[in-house]
Amino acid sequence: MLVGIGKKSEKKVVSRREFLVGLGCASIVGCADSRIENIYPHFKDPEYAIPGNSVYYASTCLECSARCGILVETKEGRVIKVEGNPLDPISKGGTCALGQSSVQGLYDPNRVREPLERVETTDEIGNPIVTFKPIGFNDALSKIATALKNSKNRLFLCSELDDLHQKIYDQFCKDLGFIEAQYEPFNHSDLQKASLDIFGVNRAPTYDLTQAQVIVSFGAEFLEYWLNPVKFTKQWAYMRKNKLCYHFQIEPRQTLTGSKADKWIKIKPNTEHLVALALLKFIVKLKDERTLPDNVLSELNSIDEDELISESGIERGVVTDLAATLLSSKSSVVLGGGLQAKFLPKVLLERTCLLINYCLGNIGKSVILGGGPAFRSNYGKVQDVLLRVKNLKGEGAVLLVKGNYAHFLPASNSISELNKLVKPGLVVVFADVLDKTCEIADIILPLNHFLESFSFSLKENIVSLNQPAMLNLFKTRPFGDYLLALISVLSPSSVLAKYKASDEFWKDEVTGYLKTGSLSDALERGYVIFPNKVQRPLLQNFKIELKNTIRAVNLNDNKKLTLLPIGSIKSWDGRCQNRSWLLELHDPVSLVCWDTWIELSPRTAKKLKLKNKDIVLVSTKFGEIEAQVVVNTLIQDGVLGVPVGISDGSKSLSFAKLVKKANGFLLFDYENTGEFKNTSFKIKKVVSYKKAYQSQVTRSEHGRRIVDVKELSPTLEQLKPFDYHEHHHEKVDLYKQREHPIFKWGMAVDLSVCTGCSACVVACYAENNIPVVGPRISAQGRRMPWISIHTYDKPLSDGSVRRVWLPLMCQQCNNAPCEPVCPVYATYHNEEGLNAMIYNRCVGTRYCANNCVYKVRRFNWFEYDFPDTLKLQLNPDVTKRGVGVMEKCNFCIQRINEGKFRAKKEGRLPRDGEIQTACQQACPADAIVFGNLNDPGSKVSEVSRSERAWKLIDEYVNTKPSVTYLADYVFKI
Amino acid sequence: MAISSEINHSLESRVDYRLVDKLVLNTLKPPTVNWYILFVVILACLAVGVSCWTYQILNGIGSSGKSNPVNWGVYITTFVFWVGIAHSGTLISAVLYLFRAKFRMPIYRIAEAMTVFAVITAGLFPIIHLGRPWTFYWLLPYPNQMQLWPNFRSPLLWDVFAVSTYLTISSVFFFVGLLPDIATARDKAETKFRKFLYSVASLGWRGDAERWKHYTSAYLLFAAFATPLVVSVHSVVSWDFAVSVIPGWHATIFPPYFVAGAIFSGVAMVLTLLIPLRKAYNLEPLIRAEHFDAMSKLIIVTSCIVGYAYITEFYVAWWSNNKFERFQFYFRPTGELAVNFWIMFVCNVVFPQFLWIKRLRTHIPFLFILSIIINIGMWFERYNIILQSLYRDYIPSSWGHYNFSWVELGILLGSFGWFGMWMLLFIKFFPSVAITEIKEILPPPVRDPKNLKH
Repeated sequence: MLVGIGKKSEKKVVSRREFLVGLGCASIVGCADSRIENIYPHFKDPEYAIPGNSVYYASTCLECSARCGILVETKEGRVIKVEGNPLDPISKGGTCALGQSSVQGLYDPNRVREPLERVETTDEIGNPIVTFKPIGFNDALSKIATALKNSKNRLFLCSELDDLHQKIYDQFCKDLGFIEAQYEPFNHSDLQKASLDIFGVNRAPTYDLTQAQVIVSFGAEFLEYWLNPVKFTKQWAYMRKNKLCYHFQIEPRQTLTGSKADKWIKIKPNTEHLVALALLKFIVKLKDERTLPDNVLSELNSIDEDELISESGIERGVVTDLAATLLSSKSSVVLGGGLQAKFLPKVLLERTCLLINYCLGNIGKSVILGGGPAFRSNYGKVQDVLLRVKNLKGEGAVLLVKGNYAHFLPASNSISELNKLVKPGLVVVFADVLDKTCEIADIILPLNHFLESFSFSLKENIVSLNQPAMLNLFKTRPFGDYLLALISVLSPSSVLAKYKASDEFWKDEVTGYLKTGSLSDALERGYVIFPNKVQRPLLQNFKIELKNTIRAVNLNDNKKLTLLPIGSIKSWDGRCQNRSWLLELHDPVSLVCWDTWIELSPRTAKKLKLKNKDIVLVSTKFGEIEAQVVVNTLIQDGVLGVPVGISDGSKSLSFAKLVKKANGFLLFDYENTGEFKNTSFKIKKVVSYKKAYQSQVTRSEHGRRIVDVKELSPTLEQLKPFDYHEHHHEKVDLYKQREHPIFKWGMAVDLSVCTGCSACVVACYAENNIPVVGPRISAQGRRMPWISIHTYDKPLSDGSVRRVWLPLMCQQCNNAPCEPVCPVYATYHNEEGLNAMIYNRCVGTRYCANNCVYKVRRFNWFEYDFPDTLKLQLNPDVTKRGVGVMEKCNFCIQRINEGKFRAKKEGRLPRDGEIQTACQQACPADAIVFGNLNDPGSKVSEVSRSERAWKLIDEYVNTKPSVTYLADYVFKI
Repeated sequence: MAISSEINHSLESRVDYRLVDKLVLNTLKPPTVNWYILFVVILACLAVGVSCWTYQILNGIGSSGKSNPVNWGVYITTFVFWVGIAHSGTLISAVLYLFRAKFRMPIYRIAEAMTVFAVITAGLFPIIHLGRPWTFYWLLPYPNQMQLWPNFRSPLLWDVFAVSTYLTISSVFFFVGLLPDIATARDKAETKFRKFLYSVASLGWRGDAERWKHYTSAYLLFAAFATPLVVSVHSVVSWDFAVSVIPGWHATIFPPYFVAGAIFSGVAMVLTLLIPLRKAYNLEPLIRAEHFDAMSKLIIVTSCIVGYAYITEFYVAWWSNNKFERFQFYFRPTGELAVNFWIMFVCNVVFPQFLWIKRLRTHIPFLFILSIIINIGMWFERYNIILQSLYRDYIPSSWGHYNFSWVELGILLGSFGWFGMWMLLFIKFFPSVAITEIKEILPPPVRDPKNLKH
């Protein structure tokens, strides 16, 4: 009986019993949660999945053309992290910042969640409003098919594709008669073209740096984003640690790669090819001349090398020394290209570099012809397609677009108005993220992220496989599925018409590559070995076409400033525009996060009356950017470095919309071959709402010894013990040191191979659920990275400056200043030597952070949210910290525990190297070593005993850190 | 004894027991319009502070201007400022009592009230400053099921003990000192409410010899109790900094330097409060030029000690040959925050030197302005110590900055509102000048022949 409905009592008195019944009902109703929660992706668990344990899928990273092997970590059916695949013979377990962030690409809140159709309406005043409304897959495809039937103007603008989709795409364009173009701004088509011209191999070469004692790089940022940075970093670091290897970098503005060179040669912009030509001439002179065809030799003889060298602003001796070093070494490699050479007729530079390699006998040793990817990027073809659109004259066309063309195409070839020109046809955009290009679409077709799809990529001697690591997050399909569906409707006779979905085609293709073993084994490994047949290099009949150089020479007008495109590891070409980890990451060179910047040398800045952190408007006749000024001592005078790749946010982008007028691509116009045209520009100081923020106040050590660089004579035997007093405080310690019976976790970081690539930083964000705070709070100095790349400029004895990268994380001090000052024991020393944090005990006095001499503790000033789908990425092994709580690096304690438990189950101690921290796993240079310091045989103990080892400012404050740094060194040549 | 006889002498013969009662109890009369206006202004300040704090709790401690390397700022500055203010009250009431310095008599009551209210204000700031203020009680060593105790090595815990002990002792001492005066107020009370209030508060004080005997020995005992606190509390507060490893904080000079600074600022604050009070309630016959003269001398002495400490810090930084210390002390007067340093130096060291001129020591408007200048200077002293050291410590690549925010300004204003509210209420409810103690140094009333006739 319910409350108050007593029949017997007329007064409706509620008895005690009735009241209790009512109370019970009420509380049951009250406790029910009306929200519907869908938190169980594994509704039916797969057989092998144990809740709480990670399941890894071997796959391939498709972020850039390098195609590194990765392991995708999933927990309870959700992808939570990407790690390098140690089995991959090319990348060997390394990753880069971009690859680490690909999980955020998967969970991007701006993913296109279903097919969308354009709806044009007008508001009250009559202004057109464009919105997109959902449409079914079949409706969308039938609309496209109908439009294709009605139109003969079939155009396709596409990005670079993996080999599976390239095959489907090629067949699709052939069958349906598409006029197509593929393009990506950061491509290596020139390298491929040079290889084709000289050796007749129509694939980009790749390089084996382990076969090179001398590396000479003309602007190629092979440790950052050039060709295959992860592989090159691995190999370069291996050489650096184990062999003698000199590295010369020749470029106008120091890149991260340049910072690691033994000799960094600063040249005037756009003169890389001139220095390369002069070098070639010296080498040919000093060596047997008959190696090159006669016409090339006569061309070479016709040039005046002194003129070339003086044009580049360096001395003749530098180049002759370089030639002598190259000739005297047993093996070498010469690389050329890079973003800074974006004005050059780059083919010329690439050809020259390949010729030098040829003359030095590097082909087949350090240069593997045809080993790299095949690039399709061709700007000329893009122009053709766009020209056709412009010449339509009301005929209508079907234009398919894949790739963020609106982001990088110049104003002269802008596609923002294409929609109107194509009418009454159809513009279809294939996109995984709502980007600027989507704004011109009539129909947007959502694509699977590469972590959700099948594909394969050919590289060197393997076929690297992609497999989905989780079910589609949204109503999306692989790119190939759309093409196959259209083929089956419009061209039933095609060879691909029998495939309903791209994974069927994938299976057939991969099985074709598979010589032995099963497909599931190959998937477990992540690749199939498939020797890439490269024909023996034959010197073709070719010309260097020296006349092309004249244009480049004229670029260098001494009076005018030159715009120099520069790149950043935090943006690559801008496709990662909405990944908050990368946006918040500071560029290690400029120290800027969330924003764009321009770089000037101190002298140029003075000439322009600009100071560091001023905000300026840089405009050309094509576009403008609002950027902060970064005064960089390591950039050529008279040069204005503009990062390309940082992107504007379109209206729909949740993070990037805060960054306005940032797209560096828009400042430039392109040549037909895809190089930038030199343009004049204006620079104006503006007052802005933006607060300029750089992650460091200074790059100087201010007379302290923070980091160390050793200058060595070029023999490893002469590595003298350095004068660090590792334990000189031990005698005067007042207190007994704590004992660590079994484990004493420690880390060693080798600064000589740290390139500042920041993969560790992004990996740490991914692993430890570190919140992203946004641009405004970042500018207040409240970013949360547990590990971040600090930098110092160290003067060397010859007057040059060595830029040293210092990955700084919690040092897990044994005399930790943070521990005694915490009033509530929220931070304490555990028996494994870790400086542990108890988040839920922290009251937030922040004394620990004040007393931390390294300032590596991070405080949650606000309650930070993980917007929308990004929540799904959170690592369930790590707590999310609330407002008012201190946090910091704890050597990935969840991984330590996981490793310990695993070992315990098997009745043993964890093996050395079995437990890897996230930063260590991500590091492509293997600069970070982690392990048990109690075990004298462990790698970390061994590295910590190195002659180069020292502990950060321990000599001043006696904190006894568990992290050991190994001094950077340069060879004096 | 020389001083006391001098003071005895100087109290004009027309000041007698009755006048003292009249003058002092006059302050308890129903408030005037001016009092109400002031009270509303003070409450408005408090309201601003309360709303700012509410906003900060809801929005996160990031509403204040602190950032990654600069984790402390205005709140800890203001905490130390108020604890410092609190000091001179005990110095004047307890230490000077033990030293039989009679010039303390008319001023010690207001100084003690200031002490208690300043400690109440100061005690709020560590809580305001917490990232999670709702967990402040975790700093107290209360028995709990999990056997979880606070960390007794942490100077912040010492702070908890120091400040709470200080609050306990100073309020007990304050209350004990008030007892006979409350009884006087009770006897002269005009309304029922006041009669009741004072009856309860005076704990049945009757003023007979037995009680006086116990009272004086108790008072002596509490004075003896309170005296070491004058030194200990601010020493402990200074250890918040001195125990750390940060250049510019880690200094053995801090305890005496802080105690001197505290007395300096406290005496200045007494002046700031006393001068308007004296004017508003016509207490000139009781609080007289020689009292101001004595306090001015105290200010000069402490100003010189503070100035000496400033210079010593620089000297030690140079002498230690420690790069970090040297850089820090080079940075302070020349760096980004040099303005703070120079405000501190000029206000605390330069301006008080005018007090060497005798005329200015009793020049009331000058003293009032100077007292405010010193208060500002002493606030900046703590701001300077906290911010400068956190701006530039060991690793140059970790250096950062502070973003002063309106929330902090609001809470700082609110703290004055909170303090002022208690002060104004106190003035209206309890005698602001010690009636009985002044009477002690007055000549006993002689029977007036005219009265005899009656």
